[in-house]
Amino acid sequence: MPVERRTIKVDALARVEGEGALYVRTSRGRVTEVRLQIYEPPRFFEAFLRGRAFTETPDITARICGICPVAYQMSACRAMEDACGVAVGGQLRALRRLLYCGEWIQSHALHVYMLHAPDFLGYGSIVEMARDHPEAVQRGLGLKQAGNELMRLLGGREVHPINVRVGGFYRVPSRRELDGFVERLRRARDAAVETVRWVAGFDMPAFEQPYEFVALRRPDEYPIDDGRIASSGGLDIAAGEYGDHFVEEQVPHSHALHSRLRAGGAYLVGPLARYNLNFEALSPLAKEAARGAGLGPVCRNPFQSIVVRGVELVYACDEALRLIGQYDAPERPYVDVPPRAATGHGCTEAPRGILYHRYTIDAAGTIVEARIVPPTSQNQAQIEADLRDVVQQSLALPDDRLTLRCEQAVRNYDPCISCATHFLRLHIDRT
Amino acid sequence: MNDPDRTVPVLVVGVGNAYRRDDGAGLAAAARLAEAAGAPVRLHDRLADGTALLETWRGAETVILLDATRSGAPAGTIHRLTGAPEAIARLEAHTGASTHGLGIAEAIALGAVLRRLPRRLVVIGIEGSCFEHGVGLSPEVGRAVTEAVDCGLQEIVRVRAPYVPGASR
Repeated sequence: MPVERRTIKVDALARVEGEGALYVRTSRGRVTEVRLQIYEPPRFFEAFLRGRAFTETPDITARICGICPVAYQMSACRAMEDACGVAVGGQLRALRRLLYCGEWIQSHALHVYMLHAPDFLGYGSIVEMARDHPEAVQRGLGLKQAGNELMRLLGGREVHPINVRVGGFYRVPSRRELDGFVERLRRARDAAVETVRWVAGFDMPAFEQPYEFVALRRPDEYPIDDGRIASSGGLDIAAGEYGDHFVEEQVPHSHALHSRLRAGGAYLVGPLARYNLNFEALSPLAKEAARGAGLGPVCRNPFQSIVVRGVELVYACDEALRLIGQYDAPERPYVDVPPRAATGHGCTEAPRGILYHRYTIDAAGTIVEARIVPPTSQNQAQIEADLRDVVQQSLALPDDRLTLRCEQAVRNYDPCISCATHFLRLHIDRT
Repeated sequence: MNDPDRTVPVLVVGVGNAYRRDDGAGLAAAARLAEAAGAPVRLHDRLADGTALLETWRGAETVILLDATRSGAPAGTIHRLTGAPEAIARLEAHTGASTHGLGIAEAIALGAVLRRLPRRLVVIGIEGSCFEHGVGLSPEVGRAVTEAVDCGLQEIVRVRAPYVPGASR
């Protein structure tokens, strides 16, 4: 395009969780500035956790997000149990993983169908898309509902579950209660397989980046609630070493801190990172769905994250069915976690990527210091890097289409702005 | 509703966030309305995503939905919106910034497209003034809750009244 200077601005990004804006400036055909501005007000959770009892963290931190409360609960519990020297295993861990599967299912179904699919099919909203694709939207709603029901079954309610405690649960379900959910999950798994087929047919922009992927990794299972922090660049550390390798920085244009690798720079967390670092650990059905969609074990196109989310939907349903199949109700719903003066670390895979918590507590269990690093703040620098290249590649597009492409690129990350503040509007300045 | 096949004549639905002051008005009013009318109620305290409503009112013939609004009208003003088109048009203007995946107006619009709306939908909006962190309604909004309950009761009485051919409903 012969225009010298362009500015593209999106003042309130739609279909992302929370409030943020995007500003892009180009000059003589080069992108000179990209800013993802997160203006959702900070909420100071870390500050008001100080002075509270260590047992309160699952309920307080669940309030950070209405879409991924379980992730907060799980990272919080893991950190407190780490501080107190207690490991929660066996069926209690299996139930935590099962609850987490529910959250992955509802969160991924919401993003794939309601938020991201309209970008690929050229609709401004899910309502417009539903007029032409009612069957698909009904399928998405059904999947999401299955996830919500699983969360309610184990967590007591689907938003901000109330049944999670440090050490386990307040109440565990009977074998019969879980068996009653099997048919529902089988139908959800079929819908998930159909989801992968559906999104695999979308027109994918050709775009690849040399990402440094960061995700939890375990040799024996796809990471959800446990694993070492690994990267495609060779990092392999325990959660307790997080602070030695990652740094959070303030940037003037955002209420969310930007995370960087001390040894590198921007990195990517979330479904794409998990998939690339753990493909072999997927269930046979999930692998088959991925291959059927044309995906190999490595995927560097962030637009294909919608397909990877579909694959993870298959996995989460499959894994939930496996966990129910092997369930044997534990005698006690929790293990005792006596407090001691210590610092503990917890890192689990929220739907959007690794969520790190660190707490220092005193001998009575009172929180002295709290640190929470959500996935969206870790992805911010990478989102900006992606946008720079997406805009550079797409400068020939008129402003309205370029703006849509930018929004689609941001939604590749399913950013959760509320979580990240401590996030969208778009401005593109072409000069 | 837990049983997807069950139908209920009237369902009261409250939406809001009890920890954001006046945003709790719909929840408070829905609980009181349901008790006064002896009707089933579903409270969505901090509705993470509006599509949940489509599931909430599955099987309900009439739904009375109560929520706080922010339209610039005086605090405590009651907005009675009848039917999906009016609710969609006016809620889009009234609910303002939301971190929900889908807002209530969008959820109703989606329900209309997918034919997943109750036969009759009445939205009763209670205009709030204070949406800060904390619990408790402002005095005008607290008083308006009583008015919203009365408004909801009139709707329910109308629905429950035996159908008389030719009579005005």
